[in-house]
Amino acid sequence: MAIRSDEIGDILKQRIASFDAPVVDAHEGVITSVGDGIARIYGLEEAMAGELLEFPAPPGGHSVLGLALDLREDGVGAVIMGEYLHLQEGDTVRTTGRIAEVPVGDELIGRIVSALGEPLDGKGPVETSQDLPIEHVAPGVIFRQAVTTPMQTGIKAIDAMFAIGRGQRELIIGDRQTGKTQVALDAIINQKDSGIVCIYVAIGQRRQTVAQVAARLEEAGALQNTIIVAATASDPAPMQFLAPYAGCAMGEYFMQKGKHALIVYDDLSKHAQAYRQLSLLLRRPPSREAYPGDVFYLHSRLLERAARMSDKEGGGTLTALPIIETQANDVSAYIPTNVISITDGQIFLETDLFNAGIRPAINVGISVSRVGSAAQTKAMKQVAGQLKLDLAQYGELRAFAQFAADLDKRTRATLDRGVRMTELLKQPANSPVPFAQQVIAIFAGTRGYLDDVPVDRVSEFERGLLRFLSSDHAGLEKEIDEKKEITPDTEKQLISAIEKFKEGFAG
Amino acid sequence: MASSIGRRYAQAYFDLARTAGKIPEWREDLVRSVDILSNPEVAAALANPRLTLSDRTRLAIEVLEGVGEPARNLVRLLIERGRLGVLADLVETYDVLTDRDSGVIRATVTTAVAADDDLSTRISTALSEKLGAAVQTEVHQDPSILGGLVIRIGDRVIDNSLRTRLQQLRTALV
Repeated sequence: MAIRSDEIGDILKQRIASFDAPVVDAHEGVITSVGDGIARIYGLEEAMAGELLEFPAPPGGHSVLGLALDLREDGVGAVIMGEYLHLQEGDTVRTTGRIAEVPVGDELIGRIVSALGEPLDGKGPVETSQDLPIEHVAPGVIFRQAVTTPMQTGIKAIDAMFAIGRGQRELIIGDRQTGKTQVALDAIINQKDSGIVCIYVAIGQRRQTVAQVAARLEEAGALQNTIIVAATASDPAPMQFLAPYAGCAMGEYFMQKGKHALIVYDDLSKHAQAYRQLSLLLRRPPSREAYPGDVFYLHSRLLERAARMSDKEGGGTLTALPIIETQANDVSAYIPTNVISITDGQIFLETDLFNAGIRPAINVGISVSRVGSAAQTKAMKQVAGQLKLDLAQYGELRAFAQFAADLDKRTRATLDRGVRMTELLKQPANSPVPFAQQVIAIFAGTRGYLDDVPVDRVSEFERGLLRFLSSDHAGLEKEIDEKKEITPDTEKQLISAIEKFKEGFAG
Repeated sequence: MASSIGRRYAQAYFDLARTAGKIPEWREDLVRSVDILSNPEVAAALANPRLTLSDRTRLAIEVLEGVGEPARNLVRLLIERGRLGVLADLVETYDVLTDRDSGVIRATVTTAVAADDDLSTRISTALSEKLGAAVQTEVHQDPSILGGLVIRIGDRVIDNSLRTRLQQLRTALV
């Protein structure tokens, strides 16, 4: 619909005529030094910690906001969220009386926004009716309940062995180029029809990468229940520092409404670096690896906000998937150890596995979910217990078997089973597997139906079996989906169906 | 806003002045001391680490000849404690304490056009009523605020100037 120019004129006239801003009643201070996105301000004795401050506008622009981070006796240290090159010593800064907050609400879903909730996707303004503070204390003990419901990621290896529950915090950790983001994206794509709202927070990423993520989600049809919060590498450090908290506030909105949300922080290593930059510029004392002393609290207060609320509080959940990038597989560096100790488990991705074609490149031995089987359905528990055991035995024997020429029959069998299970858990990107199909595939593997299938044909077998079952035995999948367990009756049907398929597959 | 160290010295000095009932006289002494000691040669000598502490103290007492005894004692104490740096801030803090003691609030009012006496009185009365204390206003003229008033009390600012409203209008529209 075209808007006529005189209409715009009328609207503007109306808005100017009805413009009524309250008289400014604030506190004022004077900039004593400014640089690197940090300003020191003399005065402002009444400023609150985390209060938004108003800096003078650049010529012809909006006034710039800052955040009071460092309250000292002789003034305030503030980070500037935006342009700061025009600021000068002696400029006046005013308090706003507002603690930093972001717009929240259903209107954000499907949008790409900045750490302050401003739209970045060119789809027009985001009209929300509510704001929530960026920093918020995590729900207390009595408001929570134990995590028991699964949050299906659609990734066989994770759902079977390291099940993630709604309200859990599961770390995804690994070197660069090991598929960390892909795991998180697959999890988001799998929520397309689950009703879980997803929030992807990009911290210090390339804009190109963010655009790719958005495109991939769009392609998979998952963007319409996803919010992307982006503070890219070219955004100032304060924005990168705020982005996870802003995303978390958006997720809390859904949790408080009794809904379910999943938030991905990609990644917290860069977040820690942005905070290190701010802290050093604010002249806080550096500690290990030059990170400030409160870098543990930086992440613990963020991740504690993920929770499963008690039924009395609506029963909403916020599941967090933080991502940490390690250097040369060093999990004992400062930030990785911190976040490992905060989260309820980690999924460890390795370059060697990735290059060997095992994708997702999950190291089964050291990955763990501390909620684990409590958040698994009965059906998955029935089939996956054996899977873990098979893989653990395989892992132990594999190294040993490389030196042995002759192997006894049982060792041979364990190795064969392990190779096939590893093969079975491979999964291409962007293709989450529905729950019932996962159960059936793993059932076939752990019951030994793959043992005589050549290794390079395992995935072909899996695909064929699933196709066969959905066409000839459609009821089976549905039954597992509904009952969430394998009853003796289902088991019988399943076995006979698999045997029938195998007869036809041999050729 | 002075450092907390300066605030303590100022508070002690002020308390004594009040007890003695000579708040304005003691202020005069303090201002004179600051004046004299800020002379570059005196300041350089007092900051010279080659002179012994007793030399420096004697020098300060000599140049402060004629200044009231309490102010001289204050300066001597500051030199002995190595805190002479806070002396310049003391006057400001002393004034704040004086105002607080007498219940007077000082406000600076900025107007775009020259304010006549009538307007000044009206502003003072209105502010006194709102703040519940006697308000002394000082009126400045600054055409760059375009219109309206800007009132500053300490670091609080009440801004109803046309310039700020235009800025707000820009933020709301653009």
